[in-house]
Amino acid sequence: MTTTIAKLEKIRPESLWSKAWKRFLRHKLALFGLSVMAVLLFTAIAAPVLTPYSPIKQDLRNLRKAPTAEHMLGTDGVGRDILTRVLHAGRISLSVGLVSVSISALVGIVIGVAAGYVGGKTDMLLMRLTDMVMTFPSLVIIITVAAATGPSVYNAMLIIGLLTWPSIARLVRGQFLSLRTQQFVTAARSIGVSNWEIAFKHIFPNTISSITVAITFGMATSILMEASLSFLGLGVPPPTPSWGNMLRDAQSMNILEGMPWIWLPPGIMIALSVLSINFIGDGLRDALDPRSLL
Amino acid sequence: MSTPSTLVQVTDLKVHFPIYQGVFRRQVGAIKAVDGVSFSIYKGETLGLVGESGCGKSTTGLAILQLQALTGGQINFNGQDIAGIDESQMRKMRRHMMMIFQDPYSSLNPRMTIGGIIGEPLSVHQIGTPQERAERVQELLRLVGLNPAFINRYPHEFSGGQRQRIGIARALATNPSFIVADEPISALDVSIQAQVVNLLDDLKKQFGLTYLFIAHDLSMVRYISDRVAVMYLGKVMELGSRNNVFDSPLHPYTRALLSAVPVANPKKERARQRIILEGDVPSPANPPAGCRFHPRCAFATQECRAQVPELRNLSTQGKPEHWVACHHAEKLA
Ligand SMILES: Nc1ncnc2c1ncn2[C@@H]1O[C@H](COP(=O)(O)OP(=O)(O)OP(=O)(O)O)[C@@H](O)[C@H]1O
Ligand code: SF4
Ligand SMILES: [Mg+2]
Repeated sequence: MTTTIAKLEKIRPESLWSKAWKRFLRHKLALFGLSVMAVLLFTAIAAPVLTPYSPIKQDLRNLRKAPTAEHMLGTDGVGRDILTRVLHAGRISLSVGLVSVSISALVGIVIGVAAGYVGGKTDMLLMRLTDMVMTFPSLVIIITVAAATGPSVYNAMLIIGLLTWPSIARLVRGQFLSLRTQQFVTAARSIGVSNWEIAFKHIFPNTISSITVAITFGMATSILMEASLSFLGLGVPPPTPSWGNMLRDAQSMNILEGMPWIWLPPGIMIALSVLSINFIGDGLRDALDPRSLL
Repeated sequence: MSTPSTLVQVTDLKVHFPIYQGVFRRQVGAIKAVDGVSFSIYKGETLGLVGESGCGKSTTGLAILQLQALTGGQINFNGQDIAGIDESQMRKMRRHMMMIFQDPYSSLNPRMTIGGIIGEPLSVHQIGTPQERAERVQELLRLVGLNPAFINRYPHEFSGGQRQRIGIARALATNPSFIVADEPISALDVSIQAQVVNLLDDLKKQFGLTYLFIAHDLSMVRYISDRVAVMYLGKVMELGSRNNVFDSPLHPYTRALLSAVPVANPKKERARQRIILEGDVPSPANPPAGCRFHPRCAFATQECRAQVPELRNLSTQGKPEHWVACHHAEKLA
């Protein structure tokens, strides 16, 4: 018998994930997005060794210098190297995106699973809460919180995470409700699987692909939110660079018109990261499509 | 033949689904999907359950297995009353009573391997060691005519017929005594239906299984069943041996159903008269008073409109029982 099992192991077919990965590889834009993201992540992580300058030390002899060989992207209003700042800003902006989307996913999944699994009154209460958070005038909250606690990177992560979980909660709940009516759930009950195991062994794994896709798009949203918050002075506080607060330095007309090197690089980084994450999300959506399993 | 012993006894089974309406979700009525059904299933037999779509066949099957909450009635399984026992106790019973589902696509979890699916009843009921379970799964695959090497594959790699075999293997894993098969072939290609029915029949003989076989394909029911129950709007209209029900039906509804089925014998086929049922099936939320079939019955009288006909055994002493719920069954026979 052991020999037959050993034989079976050898002809083990590819897993669902490796099949999904193959479908993802066929998606050209997603691959493009993934490569861009890889480069952005690399330059963010390696920022301290990629340029010789400090991202915060001012150099008052070199104010608003156009790009030169020394300062490839020029310098800003207090003489800091733009290239250095834009790379360091990537560390902050991408971490804010990553951390806040994780908070958002964690809260969203817990609330969505609780609502969809328990149902009844719990579901109703949690969904009213979700609606409330969704319809909160977020700017008012952000301004209030930032005014009360002062802007900080951690506050930005927390605020973004705590404002964006409702879409994930709704998605997870909806998936639970629709999967609960599938015959394989009745089948699981019929063989004696406990409710708890049905939720976590049968239903939850079937929601993972949609959650993955939602988290990817959520990351893009978080990066954009960080940029807006910081642009408004409510997110990452200077002198720490983030793509959003670098744009904030470029609010005057003569900088906008005459010194594009100050605002173009962070603008391009934001656009590039958001765009490539969205491409990755599209690719994942196709690759993880549950219909491909039918 | 010795007197058969009863495996499942259903008494006055009722399943009503409440209908809510308005902003305050007030209950305004109920769909009486199953409304007072009684029958026994004998050890080793196949009881066919037939009837038009929506008459409550699936609900009956699910209720017997306690997968659907009952509104009323008793279910006795192998001498034990299981109606409304608590779920943790019921879960332990489940290894003895399994279900085969209609939809071969949605009844298998797409994220589990075939081995995981078929082996799950074994692990749930803690039968055997992992090694023994793996061997049992392969044995089951062979038993239902599939290659044991499929154990690590996923459901989407299989055809409808193969998936239905996987569902059958899952139902057999714990060596149950009773299986509810809810239209196990109606989603399959005609060419495959016969194979699956034959497989079910072979397995029954091999393991002494007892089936509740739900279907609306009458010729298939005739082929596989020992006895047949005919349902209409949540009630059993006629119940008897296969030959009695198919060759000498007593209930006007059964006759109408059967008259729609072509017969293989050309002489009989020419003599066959189609009884066209007038009107639609009434809503189970508001079934007709008296005999539920009366608005569509050609023999309906005042009595039929006022009095609910009881299910009565019309067979003579020593003959197999033949139950019918019609006031005028004797006159029509
Ligand atoms: N969960 C439910 N909630 C409300 N009504 C239901 C529910 N399940 C079934 N019904 C209703 O109960 C009635 C009987 O349904 P059931 O599925 O038992 O019929 P069926 O005989 O199996 O029909 P089919 O041949 O179409 O499978 C139908 O009118 C159906 O609409
Ligand atoms: S009881 Fe009356 S209405 Fe009902 S089937 Fe018999 S004859 Fe027809
Ligand atoms: Mg049904």
